[in-house]
Amino acid sequence: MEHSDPVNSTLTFIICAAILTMIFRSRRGKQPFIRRIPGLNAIDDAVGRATEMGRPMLLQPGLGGIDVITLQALAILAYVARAAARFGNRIIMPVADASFIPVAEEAIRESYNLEGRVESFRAEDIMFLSDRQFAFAAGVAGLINREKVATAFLFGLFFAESLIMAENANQIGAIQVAGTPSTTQIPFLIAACDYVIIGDEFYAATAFLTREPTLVGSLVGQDIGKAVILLICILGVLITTIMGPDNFLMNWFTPLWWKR
Amino acid sequence: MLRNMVDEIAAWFARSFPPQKGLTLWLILMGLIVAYVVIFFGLQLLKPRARKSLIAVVTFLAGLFYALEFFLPTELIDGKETNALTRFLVPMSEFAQIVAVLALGLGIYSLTMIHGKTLLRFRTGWFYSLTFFTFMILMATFGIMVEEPFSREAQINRDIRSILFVGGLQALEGTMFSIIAFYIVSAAYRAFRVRNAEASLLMAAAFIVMLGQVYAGQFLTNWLPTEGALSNLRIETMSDWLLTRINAPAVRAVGFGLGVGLLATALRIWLSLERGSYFDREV
Amino acid sequence: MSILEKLQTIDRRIVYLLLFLSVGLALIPRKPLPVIPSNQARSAFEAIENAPTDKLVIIGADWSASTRGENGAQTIAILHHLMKRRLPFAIMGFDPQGPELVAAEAEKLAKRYNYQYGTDWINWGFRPPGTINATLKAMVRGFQEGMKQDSKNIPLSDHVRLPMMARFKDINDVGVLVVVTPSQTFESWVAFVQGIKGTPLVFCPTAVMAPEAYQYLDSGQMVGMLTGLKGALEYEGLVKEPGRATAQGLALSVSHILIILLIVVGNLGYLAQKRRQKSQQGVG
Repeated sequence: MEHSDPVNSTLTFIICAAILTMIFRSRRGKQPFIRRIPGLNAIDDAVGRATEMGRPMLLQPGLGGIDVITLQALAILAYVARAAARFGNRIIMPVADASFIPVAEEAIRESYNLEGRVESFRAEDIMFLSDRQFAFAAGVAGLINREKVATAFLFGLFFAESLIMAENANQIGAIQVAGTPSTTQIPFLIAACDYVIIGDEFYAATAFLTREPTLVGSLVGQDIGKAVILLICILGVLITTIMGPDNFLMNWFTPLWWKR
Repeated sequence: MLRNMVDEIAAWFARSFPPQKGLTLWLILMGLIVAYVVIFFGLQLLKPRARKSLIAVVTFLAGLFYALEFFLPTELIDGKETNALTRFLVPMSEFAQIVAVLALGLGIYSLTMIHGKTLLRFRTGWFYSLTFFTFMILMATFGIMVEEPFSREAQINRDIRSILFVGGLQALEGTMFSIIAFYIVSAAYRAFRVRNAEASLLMAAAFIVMLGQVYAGQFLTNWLPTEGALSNLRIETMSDWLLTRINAPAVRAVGFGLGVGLLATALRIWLSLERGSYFDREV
Repeated sequence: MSILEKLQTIDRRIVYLLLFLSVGLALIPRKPLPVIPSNQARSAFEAIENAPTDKLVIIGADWSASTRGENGAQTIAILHHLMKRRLPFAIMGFDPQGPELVAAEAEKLAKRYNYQYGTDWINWGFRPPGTINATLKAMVRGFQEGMKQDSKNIPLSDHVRLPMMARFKDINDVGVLVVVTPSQTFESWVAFVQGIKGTPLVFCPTAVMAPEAYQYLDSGQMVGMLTGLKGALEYEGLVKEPGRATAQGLALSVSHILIILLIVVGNLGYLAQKRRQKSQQGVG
């Protein structure tokens, strides 16, 4: 699709409006209840284990660059870094996109700063390894084995290299918590990691962790957006079953090239 | 009206900054580099609050271009759907490519710092840092060197590059990918256990899909007809049914959630509604 | 712990050795196994078989040497088909290795099928991966403006050295899109190239990436798909050009059977342990 059409614009507007409304409502203090995700509860346990063992923790934001997915991953990892700063754990964060280094450094330094431990922050532990997928995976696998990490947090965009990292961490007995929007990698992560957050839980994670009004509001807005899509799906099935495939709803959502 | 306004601005830019060649072009480029350095250090001098406000404004404007270009109504011009901003897609794509290339310098800087320190202080693993520098220099030298076709030097250059690229990089990357096969087998062997009804169901589905992917599996039900009701029991048909009728809707459902989550996160970043610099302190 | 129970904790090195031996030995016999093409491979074949010869085929080569086993075999099979039908094609990609690897295969086949560079095929080369959406958006509006030059730095406007570029201007001149990638770049191709005019798109992912793409087949955004090495094997059968994938068919079967056997063995151990624990609880 090169440009939007009226149906697409309307739907996007409705979902965006729902998200923004709920964010501002939540900021005004009307904060709704949200449940916790078991995989995210495990983060504190994993940090605690690294503290007990006195070994570093691996924070892995995936293969992405400065994009929405990797920034979301960084938001989750910044929470982990804050816990690490609190307990005095060393963190190692290899990245696959050089332009992401300053962003990651800033975020992790901020986490240490908030815990009043900025002097413990080691900029050299946030490192660029390679932007080649498997060279990067080999580098991370090497780090896991050399540093004998106690825990590994794999959050972000992963492809086939996910299993190389997760299996290496598994082999040295590290606790692993993972989350990715790459649906094809979830089976591999489930097989090799201790806790995995699935699907859009990845985007919900920061709200669960920080309980920030903006993020919680956004989460509720997202649910409204999903409900709208679900409603359209149900209506689509019902109307198409009754009226046949050539109906007004199908026509609304059919792109021009399909009609030709 | 918007189109006229944009056209006028574009025309003014074209008049004011005509294409340059030769020495003028080089002088302009040098001037831009100086300006870039001044701006870079100038930004460092800004107070954090002012810097964050500036980042918020730049983020919003950068995102606004693509949002407006996508959502503004279009009309057909020369058979292409066009609006006032469409003509800037190509320059924006070139701009994005240039910015992406700048990251290369950052990468080289980071790697040089890490491996340089290890090498100079003879820390554990200094040998790997030496290997890194050797191959970085070799790859860069033989990759960048200009080729004059048909000369002997060019042939030597091509041969060395082929050894490095085909014999080195390609073989190493292929090896790393093939390691996944070993990991998949060991992970599957360890993880698949018939602990409960759901796990057993999952395993049965996995067996059908795996067998459906290869002839050894298809051979098992080859005696069944390819047409009629009984054909549904052929292993490749069952596998296809699982992939297209069970897997695809599930992926689509997860995709809806991910799409809305992506939209919400993008919206928060675009409008700088996230807190602080990822994402703890109020801006 | 009984011997049966130990079956669930076989040393991973033994598992690796079993895989290495079974795949290695299965690569020795050269006799090809029969092929039953899937619906997705058949649709991909038909899309290229029915493509008009006066339109361009764009090959999006976003893969590298690491996935050559799967993506390389798929690409070669498709190149055979394109050249047999004398369809003009352009190669481009967002992985520095992809376009070069495909161009190398195309050059080999070009001699056999008498394909001329610049007249019958062209390599537009590599563009930075971070710019995929912007580049594709610009490319569909005009190849000369969006891509500027080929991999040998010849301007696409040089119609003397690249005569085919005089015939093909933009997305309206494209008959089929072939996207070969082990990553998610296919989503950008679907959104920003296929979605403009509904150009038929054939997708060639690695086997692990395929499950994510079936939904696009239902919606018509993709017309066909070659799933990993299996897809390449099926396509080689359809174009009647047995090659690398056909030679590896037996190894593919053996590796799958090995995984199934190992899972069964592991579960026998698990069930034995469970039974022992139950009987001990009964005695206690």
